[in-house]
Amino acid sequence: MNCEEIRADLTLYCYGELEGEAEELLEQHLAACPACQQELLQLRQMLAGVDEAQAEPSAELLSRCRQALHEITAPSRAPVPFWQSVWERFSPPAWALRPAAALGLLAIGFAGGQVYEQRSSLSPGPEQIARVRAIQGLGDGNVRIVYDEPRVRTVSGSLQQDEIQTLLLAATREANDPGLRLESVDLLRNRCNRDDVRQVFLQTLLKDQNPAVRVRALEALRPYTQEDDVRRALSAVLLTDSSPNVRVLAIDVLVDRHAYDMVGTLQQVIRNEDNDYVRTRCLRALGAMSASPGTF
Amino acid sequence: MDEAALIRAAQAGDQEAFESLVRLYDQNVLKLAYSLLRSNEDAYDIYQEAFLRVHKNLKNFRFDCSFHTWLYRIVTNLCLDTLRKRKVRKEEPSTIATEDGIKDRFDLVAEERPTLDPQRSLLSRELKNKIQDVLGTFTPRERMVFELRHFQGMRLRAIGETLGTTEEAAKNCLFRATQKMRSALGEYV
Repeated sequence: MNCEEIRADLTLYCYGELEGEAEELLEQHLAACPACQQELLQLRQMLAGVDEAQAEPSAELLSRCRQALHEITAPSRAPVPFWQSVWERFSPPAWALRPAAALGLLAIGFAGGQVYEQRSSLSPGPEQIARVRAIQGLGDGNVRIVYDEPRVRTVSGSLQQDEIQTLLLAATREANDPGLRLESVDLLRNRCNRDDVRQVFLQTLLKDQNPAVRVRALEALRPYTQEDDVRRALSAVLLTDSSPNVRVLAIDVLVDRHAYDMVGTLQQVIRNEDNDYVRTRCLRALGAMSASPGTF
Repeated sequence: MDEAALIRAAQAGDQEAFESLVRLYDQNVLKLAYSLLRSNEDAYDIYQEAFLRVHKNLKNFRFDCSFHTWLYRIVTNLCLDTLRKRKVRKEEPSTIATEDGIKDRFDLVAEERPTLDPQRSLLSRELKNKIQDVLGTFTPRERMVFELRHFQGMRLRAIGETLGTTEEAAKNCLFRATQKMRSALGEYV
């Protein structure tokens, strides 16, 4: 196969959609053709860039959709205010105290600032409630309900401030939008000397579902490859990360740092790796460290 | 309860089973609609219409194909109709009218995000805008195949089955889409 034919198949190869024999031929060609390797790398970078541009619907929109669908499809029942349904379900004297956990999540799972306060009376609509914490009968026909109320807060401040750093770390760990996670990692990347930041980045590298976010975490951790925990994470990435891009970047990082103690891991990658391109990069990395590709 | 049991229970009128079935798929359905249409209102409409059709017609579902394929046929048809109507009306979904005039949706999102490195942020926003522009040049079918393969992770064979076409046609669509993207983003990668 010539380069032109190979390049026509690179897209399908990137998506794992090439048939067995065609994939084998392509990998053989790639192993010997730096120009096509470069083309593949650029194609993968482009596709990772597309990941970053993905727009995700908000949790609020999902919650609104579910609520509306429920109201239409639930059998001939007008929507009942939340407090009324609780009253009907737990009317006295059948109960005195029930744990809130039994009710679980009720409306939107909003992770932002939540304020718990006591009020003598209230009539919340379902959209205002994130979680009911406790229900208690007062014995006089009244009921006390403790619930979380989602609130949106805006905070501005310098990156030096603890509150800002804490929020960015929370966004790195928990934000639904991969764009936000990416932005948070970028803003915190120069603070990897802090143990808590490094630990969050290690978790991001190992567990974030978005390969572009994992790549950013790995780049941020690059100066710390002499640390044991970072090396262990790199080793896990090499052996288990689902994205060839992330695996290749991990190899690059190790080669930069002449990580001779990772030779065993690289040899293991060569034995187990399905992706020929990653295998080729591993071979080169071992070559750069004058190490053998196999164990004897 | 596994999916087939949920479907049978929902067919028998079990509302809880229907809602559990919906929850197996609704996040991805909403994600697909929102990503394609970039509008809360349109995504909301697709979600409601798709699951209401499922609710109405579930009793006729005979397991001739997977529930996923059946559901996605409904969703992709609704989304394609909306995309085609937009093409006819020459709507530009990536812009939005605001009090300060017409603005790009991505600009509005980006303003809320923390930015300490203006140059990188500018590049990142420029790239996102560019990607949006390129996605806007795709035909509705190319857009759908790209979305289903790239973001929803569906195999091309399943995409072909869902869209009522062949795996080969889905492959060609994906190839054309990535080629358009590649030639438009050449300077960025």
